[in-house]
Amino acid sequence: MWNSVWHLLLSICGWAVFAYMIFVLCFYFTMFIISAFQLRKQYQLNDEEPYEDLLAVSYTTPLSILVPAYNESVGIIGSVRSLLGIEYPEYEVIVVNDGSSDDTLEKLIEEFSLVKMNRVVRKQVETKEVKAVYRSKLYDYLYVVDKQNGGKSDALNAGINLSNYPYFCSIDGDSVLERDAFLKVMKPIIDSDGEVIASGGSIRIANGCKIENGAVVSIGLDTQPLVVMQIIEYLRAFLMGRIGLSRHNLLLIVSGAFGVFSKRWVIEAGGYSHTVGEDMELVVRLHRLIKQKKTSNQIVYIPDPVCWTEAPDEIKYLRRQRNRWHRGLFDSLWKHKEMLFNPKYGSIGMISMPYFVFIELIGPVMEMLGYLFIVISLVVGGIYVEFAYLLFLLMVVYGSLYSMAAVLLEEWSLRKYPKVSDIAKLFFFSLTESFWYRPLTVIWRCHGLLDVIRNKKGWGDMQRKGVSQ
Amino acid sequence: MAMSIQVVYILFGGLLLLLVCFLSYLLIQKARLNAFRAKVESYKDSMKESLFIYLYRKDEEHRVEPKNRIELAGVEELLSGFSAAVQGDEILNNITLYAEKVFTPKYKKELHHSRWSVRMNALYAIEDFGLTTLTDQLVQIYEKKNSTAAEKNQILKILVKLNRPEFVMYMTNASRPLSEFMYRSLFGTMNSEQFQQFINKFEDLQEEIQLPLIDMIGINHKLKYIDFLKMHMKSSSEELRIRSLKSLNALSFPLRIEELTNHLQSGIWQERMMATKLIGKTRDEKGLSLLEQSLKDSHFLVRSNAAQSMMKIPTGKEYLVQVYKTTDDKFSKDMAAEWLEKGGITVVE
Repeated sequence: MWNSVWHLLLSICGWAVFAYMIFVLCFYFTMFIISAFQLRKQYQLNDEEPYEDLLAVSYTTPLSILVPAYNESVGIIGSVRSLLGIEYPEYEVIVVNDGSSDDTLEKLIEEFSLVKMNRVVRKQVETKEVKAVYRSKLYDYLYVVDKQNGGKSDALNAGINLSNYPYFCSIDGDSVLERDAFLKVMKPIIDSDGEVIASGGSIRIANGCKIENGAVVSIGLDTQPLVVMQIIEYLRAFLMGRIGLSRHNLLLIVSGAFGVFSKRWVIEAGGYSHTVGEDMELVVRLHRLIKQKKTSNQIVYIPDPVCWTEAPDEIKYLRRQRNRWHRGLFDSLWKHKEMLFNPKYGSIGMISMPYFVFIELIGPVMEMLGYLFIVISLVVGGIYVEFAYLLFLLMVVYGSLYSMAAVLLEEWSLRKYPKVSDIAKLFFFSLTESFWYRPLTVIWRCHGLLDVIRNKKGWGDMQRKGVSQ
Repeated sequence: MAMSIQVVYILFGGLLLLLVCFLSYLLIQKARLNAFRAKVESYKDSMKESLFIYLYRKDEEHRVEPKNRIELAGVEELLSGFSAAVQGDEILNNITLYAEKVFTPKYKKELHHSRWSVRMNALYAIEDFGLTTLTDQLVQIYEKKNSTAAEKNQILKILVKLNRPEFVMYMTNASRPLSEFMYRSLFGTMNSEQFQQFINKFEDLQEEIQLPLIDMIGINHKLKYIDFLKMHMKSSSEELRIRSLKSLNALSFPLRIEELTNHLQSGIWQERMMATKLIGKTRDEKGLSLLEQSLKDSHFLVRSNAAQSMMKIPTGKEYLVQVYKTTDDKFSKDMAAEWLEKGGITVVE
């Protein structure tokens, strides 16, 4: 009797994973097709002409750039330098030193000749105490806020309070931007007369690229497989996932590493909140606000503007990052659980939330069940073996073939990597994804969920080597 | 089951093969494109001087005649670089004449390409080189129902630059309103006669066109429209009043204090803020007491601009020091301290 119960359970598990995989594959295929059309439409579009007007005139909407920095001593100077040289008519850079315990502030003071200033801060969102505000003697549009440690969201809120302009961009302290990134990311906001209230750009991995004085000099690939796999993963997430969602205003994530927001809307939504995934949580709240106000405002993703960020190159740090991301995802979804399948929130409640819950959040659990099923079936043998092969193939399609397709999509539409060998390398690395990288990330993300259940908090330290030479 | 699994294997193999084929195609394309780019760059290096001499002096000996795709791409890129960098009507005119002769057939074809980016690139080039040979075709494309908003906007810009009469109707009767930035951009490129045309019919325009028109008076320092702005300062429309004040501020036109007092009492903070800015421009000491009131305004930006304006008026610094020392309003005090410090005065109690 126990034997038949066991077999029944195994069958149910196998079929559940199978049905899930088919559904997810179909969903991603649809997104892939939408992205492919969208990207190809813009293939080889002149790189400068569409933005010349924005750059040439004085009335382009000004922008505040917020850089939260906590122990970013290694990368902060390169990052700020990259911002001082960007192509945009009017902007200010506000670095928020979030109570760093290293010499981040001292480095900034020395490098940019900062002097303390008396500045009345307009408190529009609550933050921890601001200890001092500095202004650079070399660049009159560079400010540094020194405040008590309160986490990234608190630092961003302090930056919002101090900012002078109607739109702000949040950037990670270890990121490097392409010079025209702001022109591109602000264009949909300006063109829409503010109908677009947030826009996010593509994030790529800087390891392997040549970066000098905060500017990307040449694009290349890192030699470490762990980093190459992350490059592929980012291509897949940004080119396949976000374009499709953005097209129908279903985007729930504007990456914290590079996104522009309307200050008025963010303040009305209450600013950033103190969670692990503060960037996603804010976007969900903005969507809620849009629905509450019954307006047609949009949150969009632009595939082209590139922000280069440092990827962890050691398993230990990558594991922490993925664990944290998954906890952040859970936090954001849990806080807004009443939106799930709630028709009051329109397509966000009926499509976006279910997508993030059933594909992004639960996905690793289903994949883990799939791996377990395959291993058990091979042990049990009999009719399960063939089914295990079938499931394995599906998981290879999901893990490897879709990544290979994303690499090809990049080459077909954006062509950021200059060498033929880079594309070949990315393609063949994608093929190996299902056999080592995917299972690893599945384990780490499941671990993140376990940590949620165990109520584990905290970010976990990340190691920064710095991307700029 | 075995049969269906075989089908799945075949499908999987097929999919893999398809991806590998596509990869091979893309890699070959990439190698070809890289080689093409190298040849274009080398051609540009060899022809740069000749082309420049031809365009500068109209010296037929140096005329460059592109014969194939590589040469055409090279010349197009060189020409684009020249048109952005050089100044002077004569050389720009030479660029236009040369581009019209060499590129008209190419752009004519590309304007109907199935891919949007190719059509847009052709429109950008037409604008850059000032091509006049394709304007009738542009009007036709504008009137086509399936042209995208970006194409229409780009065509409008070209029609304004080439002074084709259709642009007035297209701007005033757009099927859907253009963005404010686009209106500003169009008004910004207009010559004085074109601009005057819109001023003349101001009352008939919709407010979404009136506002950027008023903005551009200030942004482009069109001093002859000061009376026009002063008239609209009294408009019943809040937004028109604010924009007129903003433009007058951009023109740095010193109004009389009496003309601004009403605006200082406005229920809209943006109007009060613009009025405080303009009081600074009057440099009239009578304004100081009014600004002192604005220092207690409920809106942060009105307070901040009031302090800033005080600093612009002779004796304003001393007045602000007194305000700092005597006021019991915390907001006024903080704001006074900040602006005094910016003006080089550190106040210590």
